[in-house]
Order: sequence, then structure tokens, then C-alpha cells
Amino acid sequence: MRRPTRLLFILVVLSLVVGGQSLFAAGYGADVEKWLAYVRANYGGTTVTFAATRHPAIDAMQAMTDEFTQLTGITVKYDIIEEGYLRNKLLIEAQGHTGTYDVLLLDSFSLAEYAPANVAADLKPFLDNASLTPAWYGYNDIVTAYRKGIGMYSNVVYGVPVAGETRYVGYRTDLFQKYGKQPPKTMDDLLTLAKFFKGKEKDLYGIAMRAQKGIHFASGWMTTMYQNGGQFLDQKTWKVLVNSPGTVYSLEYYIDLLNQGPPDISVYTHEEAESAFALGKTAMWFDSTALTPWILDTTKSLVADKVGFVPPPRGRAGAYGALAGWDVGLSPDAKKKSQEAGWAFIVWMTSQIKAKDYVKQGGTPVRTSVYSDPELVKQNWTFPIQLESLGRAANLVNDGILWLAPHPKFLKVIEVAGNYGSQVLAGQLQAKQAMDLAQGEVEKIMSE
Amino acid sequence: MRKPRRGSYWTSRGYLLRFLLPSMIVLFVIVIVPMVFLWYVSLTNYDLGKGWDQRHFAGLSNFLMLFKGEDRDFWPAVLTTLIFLACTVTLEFIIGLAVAMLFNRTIAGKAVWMAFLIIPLTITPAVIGLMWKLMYNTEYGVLNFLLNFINLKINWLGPRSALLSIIMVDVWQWTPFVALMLYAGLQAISTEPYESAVVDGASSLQIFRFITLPLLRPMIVVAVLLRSIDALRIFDTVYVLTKGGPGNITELLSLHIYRVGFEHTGWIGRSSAVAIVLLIMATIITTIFMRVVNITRPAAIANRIEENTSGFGSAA
Repeated sequence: MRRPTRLLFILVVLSLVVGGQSLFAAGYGADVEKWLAYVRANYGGTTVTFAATRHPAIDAMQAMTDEFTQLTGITVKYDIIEEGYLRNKLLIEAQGHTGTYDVLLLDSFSLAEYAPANVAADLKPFLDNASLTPAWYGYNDIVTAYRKGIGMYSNVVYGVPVAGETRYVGYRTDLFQKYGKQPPKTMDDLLTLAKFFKGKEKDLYGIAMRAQKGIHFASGWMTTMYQNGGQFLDQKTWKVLVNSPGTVYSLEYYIDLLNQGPPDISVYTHEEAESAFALGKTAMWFDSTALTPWILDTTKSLVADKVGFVPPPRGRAGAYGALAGWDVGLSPDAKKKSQEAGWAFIVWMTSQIKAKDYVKQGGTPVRTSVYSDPELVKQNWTFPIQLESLGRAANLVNDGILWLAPHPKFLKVIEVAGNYGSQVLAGQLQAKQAMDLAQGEVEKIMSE
Repeated sequence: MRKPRRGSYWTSRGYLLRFLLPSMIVLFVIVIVPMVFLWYVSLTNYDLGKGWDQRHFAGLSNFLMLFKGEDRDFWPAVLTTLIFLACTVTLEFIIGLAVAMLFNRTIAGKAVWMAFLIIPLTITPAVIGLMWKLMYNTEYGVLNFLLNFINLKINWLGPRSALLSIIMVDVWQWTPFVALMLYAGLQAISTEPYESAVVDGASSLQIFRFITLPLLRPMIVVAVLLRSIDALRIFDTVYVLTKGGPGNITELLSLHIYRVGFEHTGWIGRSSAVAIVLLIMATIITTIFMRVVNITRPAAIANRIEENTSGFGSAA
């Protein structure tokens, strides 16, 4: 090569190298680089398998995975499984100690079942490991209610919350304005409004909620149950309250509310309920805050620009809200290297520095810093309303009740209750009759 | 070993057994072992939440609980399963036979029509469930969209129509199977009986009743038998469509087994007992069916045809 060309060649290569470095270091400080280097050195080339379900949180993580792989050399394989199957799969894999999955998406609903079955590993050793979990991770920035209420069970940290949720009411601002209605403040308002809007216009129904036989029915019912004075189990004495007057009333209320919805609401899961509302078929919707991104997505939803939200209405027993969510955890049966690589993945995805990206990609906010970040609040006008709804969820906790009773048999109880509730909706049983039958079955389950 | 005569070594038991052994082992592991496990577990109170080590021997209590009525959804599930079985098999047989007869002639582009027929058979049942759930949706489903033009709106998955809807999906998926089997049967029938019947002056209804049906009997038996067994086992499609709801209207025995054993309640012992009941039911139904049909040798069929067709042309 002649001299000028060689010089040019060196300059080009040098600028690429320097440019490449700055590309990597774009936005990330020295301590982040240090951690990334550590992870690259120890876990580069590992594949992490992640058992998950379809959720905006997972959509967000998937969008962020390419960058993660580029920076750390860890490949992530997602196995998206339907919610119901996921729970079974995790239980069976844990029983067989197969170690198929490294990272797990854990439903807070099921933690009480997962804990005794050793589905998820205790995360404290990982959190305390200074080289794996750097200072900039910001574990305590995660909203306390989520950290303690969703991620822990029996004082053991099983998961890092990635999608905390409470339930709130979405309503069609255009319809409410047209008929001069105010958004619901009390549960009676909610029912009255639902009855008002049903059939008001062609193909319009009052409200969309979950009612599919089994746990979906129970989940929808529980969204309204505590405010209406119902409870399945006394959370101090574990006495069965399935056929108590409060619970029966809450069931009758819920059935009445469901009857103001679309005719086939009896097979609705949260997916169909959200679709019905987003397609403009119902005037209201009372479901998870985590699904807000789907409703506000202009490419999928027809009501994105004409929807408002209010916190869960006050009932006769108080102003209560739900508290549930999803965590990411680790499998205790995974190989040590994949497990630690999985933890590096969790640290990256749920860290304070990536939280903004996560939310921008549709992830659900779980950190105080995110809820109070002015830029994000400007983009997500529902954040203050969600925060207020979380306040109502805190009311429930302060009154000594956890939305999901911390008992290993709780899921069996709500499965049975949801099963009977579905029969009441189908008109096969009366509410009191069904609850008396359920009471017997649940008492038997609790005494087993 | 005996001194091998020419050819007898190659057909000796020992030699043949060596070829059969691999598949026998696989079959044993896949079929016999789980079956024995099922029988064993049905006699315990194994609970998925509590773990394998916590199980206790429970004798026949799981079975007695079903028959004493402690499981409120068991007998409704049995009834629903039988109704489902009767409706789907009958509809599939009638429509399948009609389609097979329609195909049994020269048609332009027959291969293309046959390809269309095969499509439902090739789709995964769970996907079919999802597809139909979207189509059945009262608000944004295709069926109600079309019915809207004649001002009709049917609540497909509601309490009144859910059972009918799942029957419809099964008929949609499996009628082609019956049609193809019966078509193959029709193609295999020789033309001689038909020719002599026409000569004797038989009407087409008489031909159908006394020649086609009896000759088609073996295929009909196989098709109906296979469909009956499958109808008793169906799970994926119904689970995705309704999960057994609303109430317990579409809860077939297979769904009941799943719900009791895996849907949060985790009572594997109890659900194994229900599974065995379903197995016994299937065995009884198929045995009764075989007895009733009493399929015998081709000669006997030929004799019967002879008897049936001897009266043709005498009704002058």
C-alpha cells in the first residue's frame, strides 16, 4: 500500500474502533460498563431459557433483548406459554427437577403454591452478591407494596416485580359526555351506569369483565368483592366465609354487573374483555392496569383517544383495590452458570437505569422513580390515576387483608368458588345455593 | 435349537421376536407403564400441590366419591359426553356419507375439492379452538357479522348454544375424515352387483339400501368406531373454546378430568379415577357397538345381498 492510502486505512480502522466503543458506552457510565464487562467475561455465550406468558411486560423485555445480547453475549430464548399452562408447567418441571428453564415468570397469584413446591429460588443470595447485583440496580426503588406484596411470600424473596397491577375502571369519555354521565365513584354508580349504557346504542353494552369458568371468573369477582364486603377466607383465623352474607351479596352484585355485558361474557378472559372494550363494544371496563398499553395503542385499539380512567369505586365495605402482578424469578434446578446468567438478565431488565426504556416499550411501571418521572408522566397520563388506585390497594392491606390470601390452598378455594360462580352466571344455580355448596367443598379442602 | 429345515429358521419365533422387540419395548413404555401408573394413582390421594411423597393409599374412595354424588359435576359430565358422542358421530356419519357419495363420480377438479376437504384435518385442535372462538364471538366474530345482514345475533357460546357450538366445531373438523374413509370404501366396491341390480330393475333407493350400505358396512364400522373413541377423548378444542363453561354445560369428562386434576385443585388421585371411568365407558360403548353391528365374512354379506335383491323386478 502507498503511504497516504495506508494512513487513511489506519485512520478509518481507528475511528471505527473508537466509534464502536462510544456506541457501547452510549449513555452508560463507567460502573455499568464494569458490570457489563464482568458479565461478558463470565457468562458470555451462555443461553438463558425464559418461561413466560403473553404480557406487555414480556413484549417490552423482548424489545430490549437484542441490546442485552449485544452487550453481554448472553442469548435469551423465550418460551411463551398460555397463562394456565404456564403454572402447570412450572409445577411439573419443579417436581421433576428438570432445570429446563432458568428464568421464570411467576404469577403472584400462584406464589403461595409455588413456594412449598420449590418452583422458584430464594433471590436473597443473588441480591446480596455485590458483583452480580451492582449498586446502580436500585432494588429499594421498586414500590414497597410491590416488592413486599408481590415479590415475597412468607418473608422470602421469590421474584422481582416486573408488572405490578391493580385494577381500575376505564370508561368511554365520548359516551359519558354524550349522555351527561359522570364516571363511577361508588360500586352502586358502577352498576347503575352499566345498566344505563347496555343497549343504549346499537351493539353497545355496559361493561366488559372476566367471567370464564374457574379462576378467571374468580379473578373478576375479586376485583369487586372486597369493596362489597365479601371474602373467601378470614385471613386471620382461616375460617371459610364463602357463604357469608357479604360474599353472597358480592356474587349477586357481580352476576348483575356481568349481565350488563356482552351476551357471551361467560367465556371472557381478560383478553376478550380488553378486546371488547378496545373495539368500542362496551361503555366501561374494569380490569388490570397492566393492560392499559393495549387500550391506548392506536394501532390496535379503536378507543385509544376517547377513554378515561378512574380508581376502583368505593363499595359498602371501603375503597379497596386489587394488588397482583408478575415477577421474574430463577429456577432452583437450573445449572449454576445459566442461573447466574439469568440473574444478570433480570438485573439488566429490571434495573433503575433501564426502567424508562422498559416503560417506553410498554412495560408496566413498578418503580417509584418511574411513577414520578416527569417525562414519563407526560407520556403516560394514566400514571397518577394508577398511583391513586395503588393507594386504594394499600387501603386493603392496611385493613389487614391481602388481595390474594397468603394460604397455599387459596388457589384451590378460588377455583372452586369461580366454578360455582360460573354456574350461577349460566343460570344453573342461585347465588346463595351455589355458595352453600361451595362452602362445603371449601371447608373440606381447608381441612385436608 | 432344532436342526433348521429349509426356510423354518427365518420364520422361527426367536428370529421374528428379535424384530418385534424394539417396538414392543417402546409400546410397553409408552402405553403399559402409564396405564399401570394410572391404575395405581387412582387408588391414592396424590395431590399435585402436596407432592409425590405425601400420597397415601386411599383404596376405592376416589371411585365411591364419584358414584355417591360427592363430585357434583361428574354425572352431568357423563351425560354431556354421551350427548356429544351421539350428536357428533351421527352428524358426521350422515354428512360424511352424503359427501362421499357426491365424490363417487367423475367431477372436474376432484383433487382440488379433496384438498379442501382435508384442510380441517390438518389443523391443530387448539388452533381450531382459537379460530372458532374468534368466529363465535358475539360482538366481533365473523359468524354474527354475516348473520347481522339478516338481523340475527346468536349467542354461540352462551348457556343455550354452547353445547351445540362445540358439536358444530367437531363436525366441521372431522366430517372430512369420515367422508374420505367412506369414499375409499365406495371406490372399493365392484360394479357387478350394481349392474345386475339395474338389470333386475331396482330403484336407486333400493340399490342404496340393499347393495351400497351392506357392502360399505366394514368401512362404516371402522369410521364410526374411530370417531366414537375420538369423541370421548376430545379436549383441546373444547378447552380453548369454553373451558367447560358456561357453568358445566360443555364440561365433558375429559375436561372434568383435567379440571379436577390440574386446574389449581391438583387432585390427581381423584382425576385418575374419573379417567378410568371414562376408559371403562369407552370400552363398553365400543363393545356394544361391535356386537350390534356383528360384522362378518364377505361371503355372508354376499348371501344377504342375494336375499335382499331377489325380490327386484317382481313388484310389477
